[in-house]
Amino acid sequence: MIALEGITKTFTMKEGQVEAVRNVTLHIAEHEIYGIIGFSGAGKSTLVRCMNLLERPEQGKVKLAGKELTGLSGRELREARKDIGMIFQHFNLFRSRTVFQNIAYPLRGRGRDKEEIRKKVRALLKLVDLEDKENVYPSQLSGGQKQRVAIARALATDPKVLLCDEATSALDPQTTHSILKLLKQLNAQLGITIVMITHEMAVIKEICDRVAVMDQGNVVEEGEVFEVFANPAQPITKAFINTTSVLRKVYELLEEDSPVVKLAPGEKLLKLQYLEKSVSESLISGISRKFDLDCNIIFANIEIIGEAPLGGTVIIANGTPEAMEGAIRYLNDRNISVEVLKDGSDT
Amino acid sequence: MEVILEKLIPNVMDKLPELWKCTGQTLYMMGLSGIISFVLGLAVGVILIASRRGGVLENSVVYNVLDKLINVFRSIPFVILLASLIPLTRAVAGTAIGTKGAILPLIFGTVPFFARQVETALAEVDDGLVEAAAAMGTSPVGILFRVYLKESIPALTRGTTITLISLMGLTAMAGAVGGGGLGDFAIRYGHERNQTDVTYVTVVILLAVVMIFQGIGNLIIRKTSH
Repeated sequence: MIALEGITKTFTMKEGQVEAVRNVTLHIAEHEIYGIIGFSGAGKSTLVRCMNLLERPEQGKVKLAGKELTGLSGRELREARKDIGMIFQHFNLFRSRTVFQNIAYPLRGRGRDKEEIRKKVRALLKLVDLEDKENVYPSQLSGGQKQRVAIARALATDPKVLLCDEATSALDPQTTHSILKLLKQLNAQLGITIVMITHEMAVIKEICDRVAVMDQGNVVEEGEVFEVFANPAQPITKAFINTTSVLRKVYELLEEDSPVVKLAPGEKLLKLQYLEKSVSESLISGISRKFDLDCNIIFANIEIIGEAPLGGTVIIANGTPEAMEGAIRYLNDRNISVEVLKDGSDT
Repeated sequence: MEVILEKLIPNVMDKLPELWKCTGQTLYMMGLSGIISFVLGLAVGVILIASRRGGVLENSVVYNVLDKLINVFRSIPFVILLASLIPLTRAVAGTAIGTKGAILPLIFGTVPFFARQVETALAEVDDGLVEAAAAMGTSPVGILFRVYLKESIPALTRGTTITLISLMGLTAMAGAVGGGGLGDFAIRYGHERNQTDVTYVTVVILLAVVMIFQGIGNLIIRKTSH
């Protein structure tokens, strides 16, 4: 749906040239929810602005549904922009216009009559569940409601793509969840392609199909959310995953030599992690029964991403060395990585 | 009533017809130069915002020329502007004296001031709104009208009120070219002939005008701020 080919965007600042985006090539498929994650200053907001040419890249091509946007004239580009809706962190609603007028804004001046506009706006209000707020001004709405209005406005021209620039970053977790749910529902209902820019791993986890990780203007890692989460190749990706995982806590405990991770001889501290999508089997009780191991779960952080469990557990296992080896092999066969963090026999 | 007024403000009662005539002249000067200045100042302000760095129709030449011109005209004292514009006024209005001769200098004195007010008002519009409008396919000219002007109506009203009231101050000086008006009236009788009651009455009328403008301005601001 969206193809970025070799996009480079440089800003000239007082301090010199800043390369916000460096030679980025991305392909976003139809109907998918594509996440772009990065810390602030990574260039992700600039990249998403290159998709509708709010920022014009110096190099590279932007294609939307096969049409090259970078080659269009000003007028043609404005026409093409009705296929690309956009929502923002701070909503950017017109304060002087009511909810109705805000949503009607992109429909005006496109040769539609009043009745048609009214019908469309009402349908959109229904879609975002704000039917009773038609004549209210944005200042009277909560953050979540404002974002819903912004979504309705972005959808008014029936776009093929919805660009979300940190759309949930100004919202509390509960409201974030409800907005993400709405976006997911729109994606399923309207088949709209969604591009999510965020610095929150939780957002990516919750709704994205694929993800690109950005760092210093480059896309350093890209792929299915599950794959990227399970096998992060780049340190920055690992850093993002760590922001949402409690498993790293075990390393702190090991360093502090906490009583929680004190092992008796014959015990081993193991970290088990899902590597690929696998059917959720009863693994712990499985190895416990099959190999006669005693398993004590210290930490567990398992999440469902793309309908498969991802994450892992840290356990203390107790059993004979043969049983231990057998269990590790058994787990490896089921695509579970096993890392021995500490061996009780060593001390 | 008449008797009381005759006692309180004898000099004013003597020349009531002239007072009304002068009030009319003041309102005429303010009305005509106000309307023309409003249109021109708005246009210049909008052009400044459009052409500034990062504006929707960025053009540094246009911006710099207008910016410097405004500074030049704003630094010329009005009395001097009034005198130095005489040839131009004569060419445009046919005369450089009287109420008619005061209009052009008043416009020259007001437009730069109002253009700055407009520029300040429009500059307050959130860049995010401009970006959102551009993302929805609004043209640069559309953004100027549908976003900048529409979204800053309260701020523009504030600027307009301030400008109108300062314009009223300028009309008082128009007396220097025989422009007439209340300011001239107060100077000729109240000041020069020491008829203090004339000064007081003039001030009261001007105060009433100020209050009416400010009141209307505040009402519009209240109705358009959400």
